[in-house]
Amino acid sequence: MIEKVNQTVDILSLSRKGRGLVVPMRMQWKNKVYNINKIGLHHPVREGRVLYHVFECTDGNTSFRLKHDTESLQWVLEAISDGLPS
Amino acid sequence: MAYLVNSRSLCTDEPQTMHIDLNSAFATIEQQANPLLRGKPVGVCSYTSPGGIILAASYEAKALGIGTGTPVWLAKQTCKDIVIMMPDPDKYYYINTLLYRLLNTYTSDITPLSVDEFVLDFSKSRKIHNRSLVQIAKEIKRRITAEIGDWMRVNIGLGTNRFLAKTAASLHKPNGLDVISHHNLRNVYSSLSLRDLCGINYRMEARLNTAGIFTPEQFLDASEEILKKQVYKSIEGHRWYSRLRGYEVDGVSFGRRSYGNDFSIYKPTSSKQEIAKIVMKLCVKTGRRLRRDSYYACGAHLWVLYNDDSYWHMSKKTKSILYSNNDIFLAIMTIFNRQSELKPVSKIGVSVYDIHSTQPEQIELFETIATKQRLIAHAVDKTNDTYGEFTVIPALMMNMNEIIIKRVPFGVTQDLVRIYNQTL
Repeated sequence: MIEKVNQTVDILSLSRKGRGLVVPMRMQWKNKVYNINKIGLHHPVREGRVLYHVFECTDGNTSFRLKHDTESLQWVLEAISDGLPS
Repeated sequence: MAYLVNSRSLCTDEPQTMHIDLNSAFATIEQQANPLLRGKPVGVCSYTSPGGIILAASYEAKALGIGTGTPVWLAKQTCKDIVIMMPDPDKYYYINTLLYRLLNTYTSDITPLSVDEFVLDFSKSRKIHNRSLVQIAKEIKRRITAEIGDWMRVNIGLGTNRFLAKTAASLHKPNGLDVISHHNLRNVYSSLSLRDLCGINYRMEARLNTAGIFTPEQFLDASEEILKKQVYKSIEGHRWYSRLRGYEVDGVSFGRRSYGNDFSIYKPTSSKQEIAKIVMKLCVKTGRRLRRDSYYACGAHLWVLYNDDSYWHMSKKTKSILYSNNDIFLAIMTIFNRQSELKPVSKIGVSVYDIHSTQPEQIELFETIATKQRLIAHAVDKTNDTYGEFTVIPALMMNMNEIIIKRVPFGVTQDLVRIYNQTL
């Protein structure tokens, strides 16, 4: 089931040399820490002049859709999914 | 003409056309993005409501008989565990762009056929590759998995023309790689039905049946005379005669001739006020694309599908040019009001045609209302470019954010080329 969240979250990220990309490694949401162990897909989205990076990733049990605002540098958890039908 | 064929001869050239087709594209991309969906039946739909239609089904869903065009209610009845989701066009465009970039390292002669299909023509670049196209195809498959996503799979077909390359790409799904040349052409046709051939739908099949053609082999053996005069009654008969033999007749690209948008209304309505809001949003989207590509139009077209499955449409050439959203809306509503009876509308589409480039621009000596409207349109477009789509909207469109969401334009390859040019 996909559930919309749209909340800012705390993210521990990693900047990989040479790739010019910051990737989320750990997320804290609702007092719980999630270790992100796989990024399924990363894609950029431009809304007006603002560039966002969308990361669809998982900790193995839940998948997260995280949106990184390159202007404000905020991370927003847009949606979560357990991979099951709604 | 290059594709004129001598009677009965097959094209004996080396296959140099490559067709690449992303397997169950949208569903596969969703499975790539969300690893928890992998190995599960997934359906990407126009709407998740029971009346929605599946646009792309994962291979796991296809194995259960759920495919493109299956209604959501039937898919759920067939498999209660199917994951139904809405499309995410930005994601699909991005994968399409990554694919284009990857393929561009092999040849610059690439034609995107849709958001999930490409044709590569190696005929002009063959000499710089000192290996076979099968080896190149295998490398492309490896690179797609390594560089784009570990769940991504493509079918690749090689042929002497686009038709045979596409047919080859459809032989062994998913993740197939096949070659059709004059050596195995007849064998391949013998394993297919007429409807397996791209471009043969059930209506065309019936026409072929009427001429005594029931299999692709019989289609191949039919004389050009029969195809031209009895089946197609046009030049199309000659094209099929050439196409089936491996000669290229489809490598023609047509420029854009119109811009348009359509919308399926979830709850059919005959309320003119409701319909006018939808028409305005369609006009805004159409106008944005028209102006972005520096065109104006001199004709408008409206089509309406009613809830009782009846259809009405009308085109009208306009005396004044159509450029701003208001110009287009006015022309479309003028047509709309000519309906003799307003029945509940379930689908509606607008388009503008007879397009002309705005460049070079004719500068007017005196400022007219049209000039002012053009300047306003430019200012609104600029604001929306900066702050995001639909930041400034016509008042008629208020409170309809969720209506007419972004859709995947399957066949609009001109839009794809624009995206590549922006991102490369």
